[in-house]
Amino acid sequence: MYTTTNALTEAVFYILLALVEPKHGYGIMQQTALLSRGRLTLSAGTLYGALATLQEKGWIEPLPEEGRKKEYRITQAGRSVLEQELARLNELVENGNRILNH
Amino acid sequence: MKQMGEIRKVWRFFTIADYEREEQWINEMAREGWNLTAVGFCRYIFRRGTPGEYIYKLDIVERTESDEVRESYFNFLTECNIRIVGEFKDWLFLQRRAADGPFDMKDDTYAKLRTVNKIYSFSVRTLCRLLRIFLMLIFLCSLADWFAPHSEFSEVCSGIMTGIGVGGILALNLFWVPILRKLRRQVNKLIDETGVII
Repeated sequence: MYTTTNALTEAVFYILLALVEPKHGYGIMQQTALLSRGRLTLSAGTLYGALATLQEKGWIEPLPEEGRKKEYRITQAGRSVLEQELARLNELVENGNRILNH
Repeated sequence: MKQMGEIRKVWRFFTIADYEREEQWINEMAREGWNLTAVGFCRYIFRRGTPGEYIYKLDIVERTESDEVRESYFNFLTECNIRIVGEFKDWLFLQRRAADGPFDMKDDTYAKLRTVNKIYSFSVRTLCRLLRIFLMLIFLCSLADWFAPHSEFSEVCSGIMTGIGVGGILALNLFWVPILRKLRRQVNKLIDETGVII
């Protein structure tokens, strides 16, 4: 199982989140813009590079191709990375709230 | 059917380090209704269209990448409603309808860093290629003195060698070193902007 000590970038976090349901590239962009209410727009270059890296790490996998659009989905390893990251973020939020808001 | 429309050919030189200015210029042309349709060495061809209909972006894909990688990237761009209107060396000139939204977020430091980094390694690669050719020429010229010492031919070759040497040093100092420095500064500035404290 993959353990990560590094924080995920927002782009990677949203890409992984979007791929809980299989999606093609453009679908990931739309989902990310939707979830972040337009705050985060992935450029084609960023997304393409990230998809290649995430595949190499084994966090996502391409689905058997149907037509020209390639679809991806998160792997078990990717899901556990996402869960670890969520736990880390929760810790930050809890501590931040506890100390700043008593 | 829409008519072919007016065409404008422009010669203009930008160094690699000035890709941002080049991009801005092409976008300004598009805002005035001149849409980029083809690109050559220092040469840009625009066609009259609706002002503000398209936006443009420069991108880099290594020529040395396999056809498969290039094609898969090109397909991906098409999927994102992006058209490649021009290709020159490793550069791609991308076009998108302004209505489909911008290419990047306005201040996406990571995306910028990735681009500048690609341009930096492209420049270093190009410089290495040129140096290889220069050194090869010097080597070939130096052979002349071995095979035909003190001949007219060997004198011509030593003249060429001097020329290549002087030209090479000038090109390196006046052109390449400033470009690489400028790009390096851009990379460092962007790394600072990411706000990652190491």
